[in-house]
Amino acid sequence: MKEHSEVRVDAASKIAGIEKYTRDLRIKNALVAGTVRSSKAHARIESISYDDNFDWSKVTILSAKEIKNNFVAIIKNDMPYLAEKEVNYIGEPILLLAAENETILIEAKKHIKIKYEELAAAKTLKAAIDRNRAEDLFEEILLENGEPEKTFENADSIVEDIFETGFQEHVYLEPQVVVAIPDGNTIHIKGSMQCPYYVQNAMNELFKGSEIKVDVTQIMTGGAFGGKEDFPSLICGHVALLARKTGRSIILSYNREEDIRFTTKRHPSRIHAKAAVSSDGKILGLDMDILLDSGAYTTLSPVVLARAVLTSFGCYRIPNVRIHGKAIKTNISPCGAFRGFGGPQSLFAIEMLMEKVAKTLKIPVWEIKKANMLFLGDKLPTGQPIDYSYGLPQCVKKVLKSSEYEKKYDEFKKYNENESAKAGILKGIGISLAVHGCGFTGVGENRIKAIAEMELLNDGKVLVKTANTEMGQGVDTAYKIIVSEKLGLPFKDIIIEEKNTSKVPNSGPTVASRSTMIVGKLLLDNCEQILDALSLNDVEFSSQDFKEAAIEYFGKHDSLVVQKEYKHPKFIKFNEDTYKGYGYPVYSWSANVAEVEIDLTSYQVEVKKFYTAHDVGKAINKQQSEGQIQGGVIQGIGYAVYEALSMEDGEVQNRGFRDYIIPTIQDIPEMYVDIVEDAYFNGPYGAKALGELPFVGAAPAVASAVSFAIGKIARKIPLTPEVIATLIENSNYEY
Amino acid sequence: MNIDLTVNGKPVSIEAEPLDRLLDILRDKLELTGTKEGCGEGECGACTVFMNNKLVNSCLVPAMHLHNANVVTIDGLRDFDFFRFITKAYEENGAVQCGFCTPGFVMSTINLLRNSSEKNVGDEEIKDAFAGNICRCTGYDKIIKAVRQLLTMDIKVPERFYE
Ligand code: FES
Ligand code: FES
Repeated sequence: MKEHSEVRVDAASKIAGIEKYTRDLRIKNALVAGTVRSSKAHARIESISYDDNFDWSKVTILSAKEIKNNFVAIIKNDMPYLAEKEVNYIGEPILLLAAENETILIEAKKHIKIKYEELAAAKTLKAAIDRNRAEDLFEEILLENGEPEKTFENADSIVEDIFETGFQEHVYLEPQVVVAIPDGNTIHIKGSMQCPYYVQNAMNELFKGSEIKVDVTQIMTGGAFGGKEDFPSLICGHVALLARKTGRSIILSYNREEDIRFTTKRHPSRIHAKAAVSSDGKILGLDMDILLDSGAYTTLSPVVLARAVLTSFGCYRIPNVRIHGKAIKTNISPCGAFRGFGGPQSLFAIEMLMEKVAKTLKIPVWEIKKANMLFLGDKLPTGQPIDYSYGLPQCVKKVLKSSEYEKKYDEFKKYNENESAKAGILKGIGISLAVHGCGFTGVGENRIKAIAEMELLNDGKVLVKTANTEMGQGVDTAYKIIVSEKLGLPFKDIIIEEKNTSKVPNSGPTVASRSTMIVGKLLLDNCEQILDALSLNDVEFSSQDFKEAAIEYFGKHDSLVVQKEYKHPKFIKFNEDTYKGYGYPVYSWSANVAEVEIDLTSYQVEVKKFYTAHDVGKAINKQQSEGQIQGGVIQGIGYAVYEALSMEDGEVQNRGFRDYIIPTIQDIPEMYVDIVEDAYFNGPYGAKALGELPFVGAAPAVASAVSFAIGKIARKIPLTPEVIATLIENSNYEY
Repeated sequence: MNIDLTVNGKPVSIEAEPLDRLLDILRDKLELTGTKEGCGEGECGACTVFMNNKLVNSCLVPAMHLHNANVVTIDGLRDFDFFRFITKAYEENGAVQCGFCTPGFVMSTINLLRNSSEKNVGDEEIKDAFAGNICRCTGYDKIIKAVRQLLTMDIKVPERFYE
C-alpha cells in the first residue's frame, strides 16, 4: 500500500462548526433529566421525602422500585441503574427527575430529603486492603512461569519497591450526553458514545420481558478515551426509563462538574514489584502484586486487571515470574475504561523497577534495559513467542538517534553536578520501552464474533457497515483508505453507514485499539467478497472497470451484500485459568525518551522534549497516526505530571478545569515522532494497534527523567510539585 | 427582559433573564450551534465568540451585558473568503481530531491573524494566543503547525466583522 496522509473526512465540517454533536441535535418537545445522588459512601437508605412546599406536578420522579431489571448489563451486572436500599459510593444515582427545564430540576432537588443509616465504608484502597474481605475482591489473577521461588532464593540480589499511580479523568472535551426519543413501543437512543452495541445489549436486558424495543445511534462524539465505553450504558438506561415513563423525549447532559465528579476514572494502582537480579544486571525473576482500586462496582475491572497482568513484564525477557493481580472494591465512584486499560499502571511499575535495579547495581538504566530487552523469537512468561511483527529494536534505534540519549545522558549528569545549583534547575533525561497488546485480551475476539458488512450499491458505490464509532481517532477516514486502496474507488464513492444498531451489524466495540486491525481486516475481506462477485479478483482494474462491473452485476441481480465474521488464526489460543498462551494476537511497541527540567523553587516538572518511535505495523493514515501519537503522549505527560484527582473522604474534590489541571498549549514539549512499520500478517496492510500505545510509554519516560534529575526513584505519579518537593527534601520518603 | 443586539450582522431582539448566558442564547434561542460548551466556567475556550470585536468566552457573558452588543460567531464567519485558508491549513496539517474544541481554536486563530503582522509572531506568541483554548485530543502540535502556515500567507482578515 502506498503512503497515505489523507485529510480526515470530517475535518471541514468540524472546522466550520457545522458537524452535529448530540447537544446540537434539536430534539422537539424534550424534557431535561437530572440525577439525585447519594451523599454517603456506604449507607442504607432509610427514607426519601418530598417537601410539600414544592409543586411536584412539574416534575417526573423515577425510583428504583419502578425498574424491573435493575442492573447495568456489563460483566458482572452488579451495578444498579438506581440504588434502591443501599448506596455504595458518594454520587450514586438514587432518583431520576425530568422537567421542562434545568431551573425546575435545581429547585426540585432542594426539596428532596434522603435519610441514611451510615454503614462502614472503605474509602481508600488502603482501607479496603486493611479490612481484607473476600467479598471486596472483584477479580484475582495469578500468572506463574518457571521457578520464581527458587530464582529469588538463589539470586545475587533482590530489588524491590512499591509503585503507585493515581486516578485520571478522561476530560473528553464534550461532556457525557445522551437522549431518548420514544416512538410507540420503540425508544430511539442517541448519544455521545463509543459502543452502541454495549448500550443495545444493556437496554435489551433492562427491558427484557416488556414490549419496549430500543435502537441505538452514536452521534459524532467529542472525545472519549474509554470514558464513553462503559459509562453510557448507565445513563442511556436513565433516559430510556424516563422516556418510557413520560412518553416524552429526554435529554440528559452532564455539565463539567457533574462529569468530573461522577463518571468513571482510570483505576489507581499500588504495585509491589520485586526483581531477582544477577550481578551483571540480568533480570532472572519477577514477582509482582498488582492492586487496582476499582471503586464500588465491577464495571470492566476484571479485564482491566487482565491487561495489567499481561503487561507487567513490559518488553523484557524474564523467565521466572509470579504475577498476582487483584481488583478490589472500594466505596468510591466506579473506575472504568481509560486509554491503556491497566497497561499504563503495570508498565509504570516495571519501568520504574528497572530504574531501581540500575540504581542499586550502579549501572546506567539504559544498559539494564538493553541487556534484558526481548529478542525476536523469545518467549513471554505466558509462553507466547514473539516471533513476528516485533519492531521494538528498530524503534529503539530510531529514538536513540533522534534524541541523542546517550550523549545527553552524560551532558545532563555533568550539568546537574556543576551548574544546576547556580541555575536553579535540575535536568533529566529518561527512557522507556512500551508495549500494547493489540485488540481484546486472550480469545476475547472469538467470543465477540465481530461482523462487518459491505453493500454494493447499484451506482457502483459501496456502503460500509460497522458499529465502530468516530470519536476523534479517525476511524471513518481509515476505513475509507482501506476500502479505497482495495477497490480503487475515490472517497466519495465509499459511504460510511450511520452507526445505528438497526442499520449496522455488531462489529464489536470501539475499544482496545481494535477498530483498524480487526474490523479494518474484515472490511478488506468484504472488499474481496465483492470483487469475487464482480469477477474482478486477481485482475487489474480501473475505477471505471469497477463501475461497469457493478452495473453489469445489477443487470442480473437485485443486491449485493457481503458479510464477514472475525476469528483469530487457529494457533492463537489462550488459557484463562493459567493465563498461558497468546495474551494478544500481536503487540505494538514503542521506545520513548523524555527530557525534563525541574525548577528548584517551584518544584514544577517541565517536559522540554519528547522523542518517540512507534511500531504500529502499518500507519494507515500517516498524518492522523502522528496526531494520535502526539495526543496520546501529551495525555500521558498529564498523567505523569499534572493530573491530580483529589479524593477526600470518598469524594472527588475537583470541580473542573480550574482544579483538575490537564496540559495546555503552554505545557507541551518539542516532540519528535518516528513511525516503524513491522507488518502484522493478519492486519489490513499489516496494521496493528495504535490508539492506546502512545499513552502507555509516556509516563514511565517522564518518571525516568525525573528520577535521573533528582537522583531518587520517582515511585509515584502524578509527580506534582508537592511530590517532587518531598522527594528532594526527604531522604527516606514514604508514600 | 428584552435585549436588542446584533448577531452575525443581523439585528435580533430576544427575551431573556438577566443571568442567561450568551452561549445559551446563541445555541438555544438563535440555533447557532457551531459554538460549543466544554466547561461552562471560562476555562476551555470551546465557546469562544467575538463580542464588540473582542474574543470572549460566551459561557461567561450574562444577557444583561448584551444590550446593543455586536456578537460574531463561527457560524457567521465560515462564509468569509479568508475562512477557506483556515480550513485548508487545519485540514492539511491534521489539526482536527474529535473537533469539539475546533470552532474555539478557529476563533482564536482568526483573532491572531487579524492582529498580527507576520514578523513578530513566534511560537511564544502563538501559544499566548491559544492560552484560553484546551484540546484533549491533538497534543496541540498540529494546530500550531496550521497556525504557523497561516501566518506565512498573506491572508486578509478584516479588522472588524459586520460593522
Ligand atoms: S464552555 Fe466557555 S470556556 Fe469552556
Ligand atoms: S480535537 Fe478533540 S478536544 Fe481538540
